[in-house]
Amino acid sequence: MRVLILGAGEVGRHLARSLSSDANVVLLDADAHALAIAEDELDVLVMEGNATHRDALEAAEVKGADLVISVAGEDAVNVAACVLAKNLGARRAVARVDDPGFYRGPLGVERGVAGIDACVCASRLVGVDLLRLVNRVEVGWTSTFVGGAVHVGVVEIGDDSPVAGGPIGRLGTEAASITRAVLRGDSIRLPSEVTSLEAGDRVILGGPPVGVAGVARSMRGRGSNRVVVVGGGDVGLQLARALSALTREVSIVEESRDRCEALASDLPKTTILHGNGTNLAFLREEQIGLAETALAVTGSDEVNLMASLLSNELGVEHTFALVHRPGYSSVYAHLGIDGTTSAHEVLSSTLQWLLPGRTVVSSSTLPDSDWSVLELRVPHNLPRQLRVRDLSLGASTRLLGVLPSTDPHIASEANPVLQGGEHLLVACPIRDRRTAERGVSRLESGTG
Amino acid sequence: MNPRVVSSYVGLLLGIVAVLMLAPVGIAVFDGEPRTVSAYAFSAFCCVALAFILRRLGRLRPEDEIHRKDALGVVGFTWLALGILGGLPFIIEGSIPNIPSAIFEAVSGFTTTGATVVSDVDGLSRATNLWRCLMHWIGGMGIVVLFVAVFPQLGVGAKHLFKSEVPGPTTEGLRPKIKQTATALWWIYGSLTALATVLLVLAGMPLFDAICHAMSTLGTGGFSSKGASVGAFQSPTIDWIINAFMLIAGLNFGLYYGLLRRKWRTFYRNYELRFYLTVNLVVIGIVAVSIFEKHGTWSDTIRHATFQTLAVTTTTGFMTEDFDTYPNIARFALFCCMFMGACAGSTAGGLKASRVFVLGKVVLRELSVVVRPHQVNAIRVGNGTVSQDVARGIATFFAAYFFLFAIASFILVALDLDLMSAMSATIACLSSVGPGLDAVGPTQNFGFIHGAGKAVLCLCMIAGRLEIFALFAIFSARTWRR
Repeated sequence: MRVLILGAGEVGRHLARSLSSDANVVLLDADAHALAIAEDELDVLVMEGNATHRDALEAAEVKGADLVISVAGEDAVNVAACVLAKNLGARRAVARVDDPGFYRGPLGVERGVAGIDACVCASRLVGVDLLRLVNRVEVGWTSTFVGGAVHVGVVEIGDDSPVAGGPIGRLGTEAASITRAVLRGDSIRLPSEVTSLEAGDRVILGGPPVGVAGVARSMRGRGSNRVVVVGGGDVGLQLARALSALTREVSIVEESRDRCEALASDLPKTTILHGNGTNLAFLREEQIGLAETALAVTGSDEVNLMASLLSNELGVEHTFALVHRPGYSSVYAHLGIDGTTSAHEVLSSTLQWLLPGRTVVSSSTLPDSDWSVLELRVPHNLPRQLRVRDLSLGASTRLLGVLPSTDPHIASEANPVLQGGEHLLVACPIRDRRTAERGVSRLESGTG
Repeated sequence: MNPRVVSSYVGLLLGIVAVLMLAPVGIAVFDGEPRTVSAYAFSAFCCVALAFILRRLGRLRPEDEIHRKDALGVVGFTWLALGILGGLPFIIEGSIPNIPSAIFEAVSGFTTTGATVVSDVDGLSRATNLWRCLMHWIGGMGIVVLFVAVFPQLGVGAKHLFKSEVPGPTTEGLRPKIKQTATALWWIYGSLTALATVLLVLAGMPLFDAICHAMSTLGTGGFSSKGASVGAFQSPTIDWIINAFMLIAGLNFGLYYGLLRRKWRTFYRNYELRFYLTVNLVVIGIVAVSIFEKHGTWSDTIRHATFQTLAVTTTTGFMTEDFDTYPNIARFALFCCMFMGACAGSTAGGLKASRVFVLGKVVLRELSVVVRPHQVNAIRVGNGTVSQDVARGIATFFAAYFFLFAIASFILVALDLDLMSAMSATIACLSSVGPGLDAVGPTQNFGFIHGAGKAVLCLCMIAGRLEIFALFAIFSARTWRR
């Protein structure tokens, strides 16, 4: 596979590094200094040139490239470069567009705009990933699918859980629609096969991040908690929006007065605090220590690190931070911060999801069990009309849901008609992984 | 520098040398020469034993990566070891019993210099002649490049190894991965060698000689299986075939990759190629005019002038006649060409045409700055410009090259060599040309030089092949500091 990456900054280099084992990567940038760094640390071909110059793109052999990823510093450059690349014969193009106003949905990934296969918004994607980390506190275990749009979590039903001894529907229609399966003992049962939940059952939830966290919280019978977000940029705004839907008490700490006022008008349910997230006296005065979770998401690694450490110091139970420089994550972990995310990591995992070819797009093993959850990609050209049960995915494999290619939500029909390009979310015993994979990949060769 | 990494990889590379030594073993068995068989088999065994010891000493851990310093160490030590191990069969076989001479011959082989200590080449066994030319061939494209091409993924470490061995101011990647680049280069190199062999056989050269000369030509080496070099065949067709392949070996191999991908424009628009061809045409003209009287006909004059010029500018060092007997103007023109060498990315040595061209441009720019101090000029080459950093790097390389030349010449003069012989011997080794002038002229050999002089010239050859800094880096304390 041939991949052309436009932009050799931190993100471009990180992507090149993560892709270079599977693909032949060419890195194009006009900045000779950035290229020299890339040349030194990566086994890729570097070329000097401007991403929006057709000559440069042609010299980098854009024609027939399997994937073009534009991650230069400017949104307009990325969009223009991807449009040009597609025009010049690239098979797929992905542009990084960070302006949230560009997007119509909340996800941070939009397909097909101006003929570009996908536009990705790093700030939205890190927001979604931070939600995953917060959910982990709530749910105990989570994993992301569909490039972060769908979270799968496992909640253990305790004796004191409001749903113990009752049907799944007791918590309302949202809980019922998000419950994918129940892990009882060593077997997995679909919701239709479970009449009432028992203590010790582990419920597999799958759906949008906020929904999963909300349902998990009500299943465990826990009340609302306080969350503080340090940094009121786009990431902070998105997080506060998502978190306030969970009826939590959300506060944002932001240093810029003007930004605070804009946030206050955008987020009526959220407490906006004007101040510096690294000022200990301010944090004490605002009783930040009473919060259960703190998220440091400013544009500066130093501020995020300090704010997280101070929150820890003041008694916040869980702290998460946004990291801008790759490689800093281990330092954060070393200092006792519960989790980090970065634009580089989420962009590269989202791209893995967008990349063609693989049948297993992502997979996770459920904790303390022999089961794994797989996201399987159905080939675009199906040999004939097929239903999910026509596939030989293995006797024990259970379908958790179908993810249409156009809109990332989970449809939960029991035996739907397969559409080309959609993804299947299945639970299968770890030993049957290959069987499930082959069941879908066989369709590609037309033998299914 | 991580000694574990260096030791392990040097060990692996010596394993390759052991495998290569099986070729002369085979031909010696075929020729029924038991002493030669045992000489090469024992040398191969020594390589394997040393490789084994180095691997054991190394004990590579999974987390060990090849960093830039390690790559310099691997390449530097491998090249030093190549000389000693490559010379071992000469000593055991008795063809070159003197140890410094045997090492000199091997270093001259691997560095594609082609300076010999052997006075009676025709008396050497076929196995030894094959080994001499095989050393050229392997050294030409580079044993480390071969290693990168055949060894499974080494990641960015392979890139450091590749860059430490491949000469040229800028190492152009041909393919996204360095392993693919190395493989492509070896394929091109191997195919051209095969083509040269076939053409030489068709032109009437015996198969064995054709293989030896093809390997020697493509590696821009200069060892011949004949005492009178290519002149022994007395065939204009063979001369012209070797002329063509010397020129081919002196151009950037990346250009051939471009040609394979139908990038004609990048070929004929390459500024280095144009400059190099121009220089050659001018020198051929000077040599031809000066030797016309000797030959009488233009066809012979042009053939010999082209051959001798290309033999020097591509740093091959073959001969069809003794250019040391040419008029002084031709001798001096050829002497100057020894400094420049051929193109970057070729198998040839020397300063490289692109460096000379850029340096010329820098000189012109400095001249214009004297006249108009406020004018800002970019250093334009081809369609692009050369950055200040690259220009500074080239100037530094020039200075280092000349310092080394001066110091080595001084030592040779101190060892009682005459001035011209000392200077031409030094530059012939530093630029990997092979024959020099006067006492080390094309029909003479380096055997008479004192052992210490040979050691200095060996260092010059390796330094020239590895572009100076890669060799001396391993002698620097900073490289060893961890």
